[in-house]
Amino acid sequence: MKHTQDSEDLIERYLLGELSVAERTALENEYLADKAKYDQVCRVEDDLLYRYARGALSQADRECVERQYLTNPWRRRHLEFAKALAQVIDGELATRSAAKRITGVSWRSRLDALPGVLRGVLRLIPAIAALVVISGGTWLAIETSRLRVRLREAQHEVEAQQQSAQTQLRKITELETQYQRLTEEHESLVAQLLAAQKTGSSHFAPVLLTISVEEFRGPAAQGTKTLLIPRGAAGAQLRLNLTENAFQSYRVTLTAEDGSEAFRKNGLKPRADKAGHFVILNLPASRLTNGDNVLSLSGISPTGEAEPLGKSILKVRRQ
Amino acid sequence: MEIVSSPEKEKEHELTPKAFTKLLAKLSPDPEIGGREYEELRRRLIKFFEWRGSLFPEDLADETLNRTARKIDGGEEIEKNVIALALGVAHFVFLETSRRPDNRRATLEELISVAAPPEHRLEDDDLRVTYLRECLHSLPKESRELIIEYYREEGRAKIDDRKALAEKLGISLNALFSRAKRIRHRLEQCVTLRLKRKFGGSSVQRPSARKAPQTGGDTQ
Repeated sequence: MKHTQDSEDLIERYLLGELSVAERTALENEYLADKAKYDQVCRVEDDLLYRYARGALSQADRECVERQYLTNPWRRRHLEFAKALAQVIDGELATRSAAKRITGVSWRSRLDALPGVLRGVLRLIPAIAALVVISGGTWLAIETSRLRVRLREAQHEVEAQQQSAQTQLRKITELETQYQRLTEEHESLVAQLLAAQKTGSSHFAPVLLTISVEEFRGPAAQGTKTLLIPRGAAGAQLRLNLTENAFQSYRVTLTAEDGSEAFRKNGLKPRADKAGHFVILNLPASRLTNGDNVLSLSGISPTGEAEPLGKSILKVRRQ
Repeated sequence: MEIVSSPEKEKEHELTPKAFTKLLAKLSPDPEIGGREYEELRRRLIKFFEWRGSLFPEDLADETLNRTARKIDGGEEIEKNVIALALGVAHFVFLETSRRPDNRRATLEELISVAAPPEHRLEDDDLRVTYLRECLHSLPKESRELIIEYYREEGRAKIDDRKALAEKLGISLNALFSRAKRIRHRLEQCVTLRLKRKFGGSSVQRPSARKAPQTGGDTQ
């Protein structure tokens, strides 16, 4: 190392024109014959000029460089280039260093550069973040559980509503069936009623009550009969049995419960069958009122005189 | 203070192709290697004359090689090798040219009436830096990083850094220096070219080098 340093000092003195003729000639012979030596001289010159360009030389060496290089255009060219190179490379290194400082500063050192209060707040960020994460996780678990319960309840409600809907549907179906059946019955009854009304408007209903003459001859209370008038009936037909046929015709009078005469029929002709003599009386339903009505029977003589034969109470009940 | 006056080029004895071929053959039997050796010898001679303070080292280097070739072509005995012969010729050429009247140095007072050439010094300095920065960034990244790392430190740190850089690249210190020198040379050429374009060559104070005659072999 010492030898190298001495060698480089010798070369530097050569470049600055400080060697004796003998030393200079020896070195020149050496570097012209030896490429490694030549490269060494070039390297020493390069370093010398670069140190000059950076102002790293002593005042004496600096003056020597200027005397040797600035007075020779050819050599001055190297010196000027060395100065430019040092300036450009120093600029590059400064730019890189600044960029490195910007990108290479750790977050902790940046944190330390902040004001105290802000630094304290920022230092709490990890703890706050952890707390937020834990709280958020807990809240999330609770909320998830709560939502699951609500979901199950909602599912149950939906199932119950579905069952209820099915039940209602079944009921509706049954009611519709029943309604259909009733409608059909109603239509059937209406048809029967219309048919009955058509029949009833020209004919009386069949005989509903048979009353014997003996009952007319006894006390009125003993002869109470109930006459049931069905809904829609046009009237009632009474068969009045005669124990003996002493008159050619008969007259029947119906007195209402309030004493007014509700109906009178003269000229009833007697008829006869296996059971004996009788007369048929057709009572219009419109003349019959609910309650006890008095039915009076009289025989009509050939002279036209009426002989009362008796009275019977007829209890009327309209449906 | 001394100012330089321009010399006339020596044209008395032109180099013939035959003499040049013999010189290459003495440097190496292989014409290609001989050509490379010739260029290497020329570079060293240029630096020799430069370090001696010659104003036109390229011309003197070429003159030295021409005379060496003519000596070989004339049948002169070579005691050691071509390089030693060329070294002797170089010493003689330098002494000869330094004694010639047209190569003398004049004092500033003697040249006071001579018109000064256009001076672009300050502008050149700024442009040189600008152009150099551009040339640096036009280099391949590997070359750019190498030259920046090579020149980054001074003193002891610089030596250590260069050793580390050489180890990192897997090369010797000398090889590292050679690479840095080549890159630096490329940068110099790049900057010189741009300055030439800017000033039409007025700021480049370098005479044209005398080219060696071409032979059948590659002498580049």
